[in-house]
Amino acid sequence: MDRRDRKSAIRKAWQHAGVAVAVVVVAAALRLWPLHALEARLAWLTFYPAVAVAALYGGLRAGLLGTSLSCLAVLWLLPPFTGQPFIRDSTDWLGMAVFAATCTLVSGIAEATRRANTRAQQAHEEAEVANRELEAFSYSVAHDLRAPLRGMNGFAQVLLDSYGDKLDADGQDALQEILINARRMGALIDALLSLSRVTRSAVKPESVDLSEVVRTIASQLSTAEPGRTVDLVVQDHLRAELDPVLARTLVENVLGNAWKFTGKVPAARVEFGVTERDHVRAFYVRDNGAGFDMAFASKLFAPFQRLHTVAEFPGTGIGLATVQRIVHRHGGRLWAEGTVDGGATFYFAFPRRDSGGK
Amino acid sequence: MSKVILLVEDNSSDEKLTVLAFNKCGIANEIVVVRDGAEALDYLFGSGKYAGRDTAIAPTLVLLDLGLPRIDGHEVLRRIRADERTKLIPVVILTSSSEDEDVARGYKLGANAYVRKPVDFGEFAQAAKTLGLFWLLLNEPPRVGPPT
Repeated sequence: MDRRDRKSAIRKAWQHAGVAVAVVVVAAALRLWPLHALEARLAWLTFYPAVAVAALYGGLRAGLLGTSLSCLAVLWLLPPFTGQPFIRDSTDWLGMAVFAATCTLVSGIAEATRRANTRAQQAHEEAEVANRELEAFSYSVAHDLRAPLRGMNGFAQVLLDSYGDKLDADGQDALQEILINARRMGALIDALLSLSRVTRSAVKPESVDLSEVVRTIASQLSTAEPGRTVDLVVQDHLRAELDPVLARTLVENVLGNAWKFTGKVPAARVEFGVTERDHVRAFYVRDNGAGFDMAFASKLFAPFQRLHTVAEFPGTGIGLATVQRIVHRHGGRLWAEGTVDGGATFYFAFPRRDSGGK
Repeated sequence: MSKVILLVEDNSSDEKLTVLAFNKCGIANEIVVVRDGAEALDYLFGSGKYAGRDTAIAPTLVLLDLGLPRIDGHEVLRRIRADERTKLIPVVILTSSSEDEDVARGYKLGANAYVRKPVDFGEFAQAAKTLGLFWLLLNEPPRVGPPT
């Protein structure tokens, strides 16, 4: 322990001792007046709670000190004031022994509780430190990786623009491959950064109108792809206790997937609503698109795991991992059902503390 | 008098790409490149390496990267806004960071704009063109320089 810790530990020890003495004095005083009517009966009446208080405040040492002082008080301090001894026969000694044993036990329990609390506090602080380090790391990773990526992408583009005509088809294709991969890497970095943001940001739940969020994101998706018509069915006024920013990210990812995987379907249909599964109220997003094989359902939410090639449907493989992290951070559950070319339904349920809906 | 752009950028690849992007969209103004925050301040205040430079000629636009060695971008911005001679010069933060804290801090310190450097060069060139056309042609620059 360094000097600062030792000084603070000594000061705490004095404080605990002080409290132990104080409670015993109060207990003794109360025993003298107004409880003097009890005379020598129930000698330990006020001292039991006194030691309990000392133990709760200062742990084992304070409890033991309080116990000893209480015994001394009953043996030698009170009799002069009351005019009669408190400990006369073996029953009284037994009473004192029971008092001492009980108080020691209580002090021990109080000490164990305090130690457990301290450990929990330490674990919490360590988690905070780890979280801050993770934040710094993921920020610098994304930031520092983007710079050389920009360089590679930029100069490949410059080569293609200014010297492309001096290259044959294979040469130009090679440059295009560089560009495609650079863009893909950029998308991966952005998705990873978004995922890490979900992990490190604070979750501030409030009552969110999910139906409204769904409608807003859906309209953004429509605007981004004006050529497509998607039949959107939304149950209105469905609310949940969610962090609004994370709720938005969740809907963006789930709806974005629904839009993407119905891209090859002539009459695309996306539904949002609430239902009951296993006696639990769950929101769902259903689409009639490419779906997936339930045999691979376990891979669905793992980062970078995809069930389609990039050529079939673009993507980073991080969207659903992000959704899962958001749902878990709210203490909720996420699962999916689907059939190949028969659409997919994603369910998410949150711990019951919301209102509205059914 | 020709309008000068001050580019504060430590990464030489980014510097080349920025210059190329401006050239690509036909902006041929002189671009002065400084490698770190200290050099940027030397240029603006006519000290150190740039002692003797006529500080009455202030750049029309400062493109400021954030991750700079020695004095970082935010500190440079703070000092630019703290000095009477330079506090009105338009400063556009041009950086790869899109973190909310950086955006907020940039505006709080008095940046005129915050532009994220796109990874795609085509988009980068487009951004340069938009910036150049606005700040060099459309925007009316403030009258800056030491009080007469």
